[in-house]
Amino acid sequence: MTPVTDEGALRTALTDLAAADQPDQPRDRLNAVRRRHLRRRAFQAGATAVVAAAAVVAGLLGTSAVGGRATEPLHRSAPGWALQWPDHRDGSVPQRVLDGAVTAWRAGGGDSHGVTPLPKPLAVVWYAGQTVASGRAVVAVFEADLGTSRRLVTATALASDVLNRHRPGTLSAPRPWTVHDAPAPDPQAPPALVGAYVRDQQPFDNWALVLTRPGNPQLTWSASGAAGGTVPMHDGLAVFEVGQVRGPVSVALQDQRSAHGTGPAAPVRVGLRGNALSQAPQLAPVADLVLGGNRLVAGMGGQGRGAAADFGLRRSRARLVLIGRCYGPGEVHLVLDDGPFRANLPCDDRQHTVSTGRLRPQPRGHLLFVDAGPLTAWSVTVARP
Amino acid sequence: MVEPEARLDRPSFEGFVANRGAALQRTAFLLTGDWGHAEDLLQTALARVYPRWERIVRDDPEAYVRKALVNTWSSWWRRKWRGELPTAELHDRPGIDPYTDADRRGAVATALGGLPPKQRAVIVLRFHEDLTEAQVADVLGISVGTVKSQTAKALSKLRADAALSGYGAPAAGGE
Repeated sequence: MTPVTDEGALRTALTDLAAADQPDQPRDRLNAVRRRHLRRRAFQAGATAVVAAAAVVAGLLGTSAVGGRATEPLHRSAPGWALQWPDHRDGSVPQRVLDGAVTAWRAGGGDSHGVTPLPKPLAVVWYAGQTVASGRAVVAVFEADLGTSRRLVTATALASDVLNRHRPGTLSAPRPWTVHDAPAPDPQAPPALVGAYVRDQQPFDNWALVLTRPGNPQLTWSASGAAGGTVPMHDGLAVFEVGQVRGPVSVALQDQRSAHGTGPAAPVRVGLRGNALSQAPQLAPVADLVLGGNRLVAGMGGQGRGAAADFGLRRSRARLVLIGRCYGPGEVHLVLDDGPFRANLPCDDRQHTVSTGRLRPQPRGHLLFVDAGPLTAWSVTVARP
Repeated sequence: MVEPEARLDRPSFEGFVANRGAALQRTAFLLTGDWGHAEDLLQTALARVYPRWERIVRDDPEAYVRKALVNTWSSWWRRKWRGELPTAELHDRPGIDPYTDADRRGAVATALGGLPPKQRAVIVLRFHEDLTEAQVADVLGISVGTVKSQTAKALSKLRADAALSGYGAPAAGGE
């Protein structure tokens, strides 16, 4: 018999433990890392103050209809008044915990009724109930029939606040859920999407849970100040990281028809309940910039906080000019890389040009951060004189 | 002009993530005890080393990433982001079949999770990553003596747990 030492046994145990059930490597890991890096740089550049989020906030995304097509057959029995969408509860959150979200909503946690507790609903139809943000938060989406009205509710909570505890909560002492509700949509004219915005404990890493009718293979989103991207939908569900959303959000759904060449539906602007910056009205673009004798390197425009633009020129020591124009309250703040160059542009709807001085070589390219208030529209061009 | 040969051997960041991502994810899992948290931890650590890659890659990039991984994890549990509820004593585990692989792995995970964070990191680095005591000391920023004492304490706790008995036992068939 070969003697087995403690250390040998431990090595074997750790190897077994780490090898079993290891998930497939995520295909978008590199992109996720780059997004985190960009957000980290933007954060470190100090372009805006970060509000540390201690609480989870949820909200309904806008429900503007895109198309209003007939829904797919449903694989469950749901009342005719409910959205004919699948039930995405995945078992990661016990039902008694999800029932706590209903209790919290009834107790007055929603934002559309007073503090009088609501009666027990005649029926509750579940659309989602699961952990997100790598298990740090819980999201519940359900529709409740009160007899006289129907409400669509999203509720989120920190997982540590609602899991691993045994008391389900009462109307007088509801669980620590953040709840938003809205009138339930018409199932005959279903909304394009319903979602929850989940603010994570880590200030950069906020998440979205989006529900649509089944059959949409993917969703494309963009937001001023956040990375944006395309995410796959699974039977009408997508959960994805959105970073810090600090401006209007656009979402486009790709349905089965558009997957065959007709392109995604037109983007829909949505506001995130609980995120005031996302609900700013859409401003008209600023007038075109005049380059004069300068040579264009890169340009971007938008509203509110701008995404960081990586414009290359890694080893260059060239002098650049930044040409910008904006209108709205306040100024536009420009920060190059981690701060060796900073400038403010007055928002008087006139063109302004500033010189950066010589660039310092940046092995990974230069980044320009643009920061403005949510009601300020701007356009900035990087050019060589 | 021909580039120095050593430079040609340096992996790109993308190549490194592709080749070493799975192994680093396993280490992250042993630290966090959860695959979701492990991926989150790994991405956070990679995002920290990404802007410094050109400099890191000249030396030992894996050691640097491993250090970032452990440091990131340390900052998480210091801020109590784990969401775990510490308990004074481990619950009984009635019904666990010591001969079932899944139960045995679960028991090992529970035993590992019961260790204090520093001891857990020492165990993972020492016996999963197979680092020397000096290398573990460097990663954790502690002395070699502390590594030895933490290892001994951790092994003592694990010995007292039945989780490792199945691994230490002689092969089946022995009397």
